Amino acid sequence: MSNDGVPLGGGRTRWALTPEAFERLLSALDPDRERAAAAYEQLRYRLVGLLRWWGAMQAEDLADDTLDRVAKKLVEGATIGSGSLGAYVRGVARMVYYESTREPLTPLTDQEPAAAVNTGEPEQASNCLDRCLASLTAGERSLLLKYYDGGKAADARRRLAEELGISMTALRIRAHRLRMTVERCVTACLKVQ
Amino acid sequence: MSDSEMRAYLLGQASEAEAARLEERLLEDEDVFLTLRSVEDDLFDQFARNTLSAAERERFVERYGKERGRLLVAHAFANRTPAARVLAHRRFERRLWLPLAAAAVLAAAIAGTLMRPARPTPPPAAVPAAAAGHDARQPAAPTAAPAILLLTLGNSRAPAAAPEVAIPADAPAVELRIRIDPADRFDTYGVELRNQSDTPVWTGAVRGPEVVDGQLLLKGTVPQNLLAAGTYEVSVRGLAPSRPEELLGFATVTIRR
Repeated sequence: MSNDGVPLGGGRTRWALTPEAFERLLSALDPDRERAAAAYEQLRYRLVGLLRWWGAMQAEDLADDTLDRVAKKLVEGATIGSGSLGAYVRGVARMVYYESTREPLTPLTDQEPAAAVNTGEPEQASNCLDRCLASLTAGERSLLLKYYDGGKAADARRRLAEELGISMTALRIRAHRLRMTVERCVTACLKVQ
Repeated sequence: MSDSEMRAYLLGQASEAEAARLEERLLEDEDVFLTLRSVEDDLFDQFARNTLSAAERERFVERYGKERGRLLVAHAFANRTPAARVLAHRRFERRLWLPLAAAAVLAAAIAGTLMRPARPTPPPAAVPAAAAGHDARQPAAPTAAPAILLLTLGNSRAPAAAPEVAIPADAPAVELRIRIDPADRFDTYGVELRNQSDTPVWTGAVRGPEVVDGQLLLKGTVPQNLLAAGTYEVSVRGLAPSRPEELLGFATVTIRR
């Protein structure tokens, strides 16, 4: 096992993930390698989300660091009990996050400034939203507009789920994924204008 | 976990134990993670609609105040909903024509009286000599004319207000005549007709509007066999090579056969 570290700045180094360690992590996620690779990506994505909720500035780097450390521990002999993966990864992530908060502050080069809304921006955003909605398929657009047009009314959304023949959870997830697509599109559209 | 527990977590109001429990679950379960994101989307919407309490608003701004893109999208969605607006968009403010409700009344007034041009009087048929003895003035069978449907665009989808029209059985087609705002001039217009399943049943590219009785009208002819009884949505887009495509509005109509 290699102990070579990748310097991260602030006196911290990150242990370089070895192929063996990566394979151990994958097999802990799923015995089938292809499913394990997908599970790894999904776990990483959720970890990035969690770190952002904690207020981490460089959530993606910290997520990678977390998973590398989990892999390292597995190679060193640690075992993760069935149903304990979330708790284990969370524990490592907490440590990684707290270490990052003790680092010297770095310039906020890629951080968005506080939301200062320019005079024309709301209308531009509405125009962009129209454009981005038009780029969805008809079914996707209809679902998204019906989901949000009814406000948060539980009845309206329940009826929509029944109409589509899916559960409320599935409806929420579909609406969220579509909204994310639209948010990315609108953000890109606003940057162009 | 309930929505209210997730909401409390997102606003930093959950206990340490509750937060840990949720965080462990969302790392294990994609559905829990995405449901939490969905609750977060709803928080953005509530912020945009100004329905958060003062304390929640303060916490929301503290946590999400820098997420400009998401905030603008939330405001844009809020401005689209029926509760908040109908004519908020600038190009609709310039319109001098009837507001949506009045337009719906007008369209309903012509429901069942779908306009039909007068049938042309056919010329007397030339009768071959071999048919002598039959009535030489027997006319040829008249050609059925398309039914005409006059529509006014709005910017709100409201199928409940859709006017009903009856299409005569012998009409070979329905000619859509769609009123256009003089401010919305494009080289070409994309017109689309969708059924209740949101499936496009007809699309057409229509060159510039015609002026009829002082009104700008787009015309498109839809074969009658495409129009089963039901409710349809007509949407119109302005198309020009030098400009981005622009959605101009919708109209909804219920067809009876």
